[in-house]
Amino acid sequence: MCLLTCALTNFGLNNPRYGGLEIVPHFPSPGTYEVKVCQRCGACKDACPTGAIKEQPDGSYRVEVDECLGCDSCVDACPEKVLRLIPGKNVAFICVSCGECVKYCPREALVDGDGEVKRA
Amino acid sequence: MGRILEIDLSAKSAWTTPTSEELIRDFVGGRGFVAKLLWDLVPKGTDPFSAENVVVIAPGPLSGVYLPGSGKVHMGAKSPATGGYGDSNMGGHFSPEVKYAGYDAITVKGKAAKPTVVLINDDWVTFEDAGDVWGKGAIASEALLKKRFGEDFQIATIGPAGENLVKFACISHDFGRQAGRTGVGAVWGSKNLKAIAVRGTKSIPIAEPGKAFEKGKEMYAGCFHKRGFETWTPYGTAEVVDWVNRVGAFPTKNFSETYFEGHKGINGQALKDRIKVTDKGCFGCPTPCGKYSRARTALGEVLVEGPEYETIALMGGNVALGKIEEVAYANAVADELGLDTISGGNVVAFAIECFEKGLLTEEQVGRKLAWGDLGSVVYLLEKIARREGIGELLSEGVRTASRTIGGGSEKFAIQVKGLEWSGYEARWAPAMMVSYMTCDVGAHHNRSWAITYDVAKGRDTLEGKASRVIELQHIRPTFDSLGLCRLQWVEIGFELENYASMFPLVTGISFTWQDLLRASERTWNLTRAFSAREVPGFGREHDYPPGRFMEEKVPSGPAKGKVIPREKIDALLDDYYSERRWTRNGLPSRSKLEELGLGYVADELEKAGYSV
Repeated sequence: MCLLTCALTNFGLNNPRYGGLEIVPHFPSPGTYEVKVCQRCGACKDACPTGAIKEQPDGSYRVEVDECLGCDSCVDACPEKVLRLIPGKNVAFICVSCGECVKYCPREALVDGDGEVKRA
Repeated sequence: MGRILEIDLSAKSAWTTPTSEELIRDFVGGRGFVAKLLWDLVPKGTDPFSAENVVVIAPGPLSGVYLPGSGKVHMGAKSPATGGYGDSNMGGHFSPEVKYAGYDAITVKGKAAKPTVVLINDDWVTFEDAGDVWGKGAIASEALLKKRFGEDFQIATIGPAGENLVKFACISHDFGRQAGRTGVGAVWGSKNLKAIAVRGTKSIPIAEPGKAFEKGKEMYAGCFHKRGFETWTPYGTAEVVDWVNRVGAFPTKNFSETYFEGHKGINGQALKDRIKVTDKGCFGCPTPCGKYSRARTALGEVLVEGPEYETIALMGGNVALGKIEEVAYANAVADELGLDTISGGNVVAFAIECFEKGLLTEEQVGRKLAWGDLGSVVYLLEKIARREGIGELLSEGVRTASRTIGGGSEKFAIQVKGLEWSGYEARWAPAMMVSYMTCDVGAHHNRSWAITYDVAKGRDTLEGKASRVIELQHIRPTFDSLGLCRLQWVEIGFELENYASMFPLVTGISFTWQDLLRASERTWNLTRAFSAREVPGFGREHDYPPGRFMEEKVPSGPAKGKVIPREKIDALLDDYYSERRWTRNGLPSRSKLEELGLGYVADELEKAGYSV
């Protein structure tokens, strides 16, 4: 749900694989899920050959669309594997902290930047 | 509107045709598409295990869309268990993936020359060798195929039971979701079809995307604020074990009893406290009923999704296993073998009762059988899946097995139309009884779960029962046609109107809920007609429950002394047929069929010698 919420909110695409986060299932053993979201580690910025990824005052990262080549370097560098190229546009997308995934997680597994659960 | 993908395994070819708006208007999708495509594509009189049988895989128009429970897919074929109409649905993530690949349905005909995995990667369909997974368990095969093709492929597979044409073999997906009923897994096996792996990268075309997304958000938020939202999920379907015992309807020792003394050892609380590892949801689900468990028994330790209520009923009470760990173990064995736990539990219980009564001997079986003995259960499941020894006979299901064994065993072969009974004993629940008797695929509860109506309106009265069942047989399968799970409606009381208002936003077709129910009635008549076309002499005789329910009084528990004699059964059927405007023999009448736009079906039935 979080993935589909993100894909629809940010790209209008009805397919969870375009969501800017990831759920990694570990089945059949040990039977757990890992939820991956942007950790603001900056690996994408370091990997970007054109300097298109800028750190923001709040510690998040943004892509300057005009400077992005769509080269995939940041996608490969992301340790959480939550960066995507925007389909059809060939520019990178990094979580913009819109908080929609938090609002629509039914199990309250996601929290916002202040560590709070804000379900719709 | 998307496309229908047609696959011919014999020719190793695949092509697509556009989905017509007429097909959607008449049959909606999902189960409705299965019914219509089987009617059109399966030649009359086809052997279910021949190349001419057709597998239909159908998500619905709302599958994969942003709304609660949008992860259901229907798997259909002419059923080897009943010889009539067959379908079964499952959750997980397969259904949305088919939609993301651009397909409203997939049909598979022919037979592959050797074990095959059909790989669907968006527009590309290839036929991959399945030699490395043939013979392997369903769960193990899925893990191996994920490794081979990639985590982002969704995989549906069969186990050894499907390969060996066991008539209650299932299709397995997402490490524990199954399309379990009617033997659809055996039809895959007969086609050398081990698995289908699908990956889709497209977006679903939506008529009014902005409004649909807003409506979806409103629906989720609506679910979050329902009273049952917090209480349902921790236990899932296992929650109902206590209630079904309390009302004296819990399958116990091959349905000879209806209250299981040991039910507290296998209820939702036991599952949650003793074996649950995590909740495990299907696509888009706000209230996941799936429970993933780790259970230790004397026979070893297993990881398994479940056990769900149905498995607890049929592989718990019905074989008298009183420990949730042991039920989980039996569940894991059945899942890996690719056996439906509902029919599987029935068949094992039937064999144990035959053994107790001396109708099966230790020599025939290869060991002693006993109630409450996990060893007996596991032994039989393995024999069945491999069709070894006694398993050869039992793999045909209880109807066929009882005909061979004789000795009055037909009376306790708990089935209708050849499909074994699911988890609600109904001697003291006439609406539930008529639900099982008239369910289009055989003795299954999902079309009409009417036992709550019996409890609410009086359990001895017949009045109004048939008409409530008909109403439910249209409402519940509407979810199956839309490609949705019904449990947000059933379990937390989420309103039906929500689904109706989503339909036009997604499809652009301005249907009301009533229009959807009309399509559901059309489908119901068509599936009945399909069984009549395929099963010689089909009619009223195929709707009777087993003799046990008409002749044996419940011996103990809350339903003690209850029985439903044949004259009451006939009265229920008379009401039911008359309300449906079917003939006294239970066939859809020409006037009803014509009213539903199915005149061509009436023609076919008359050609087959029926008077309609």
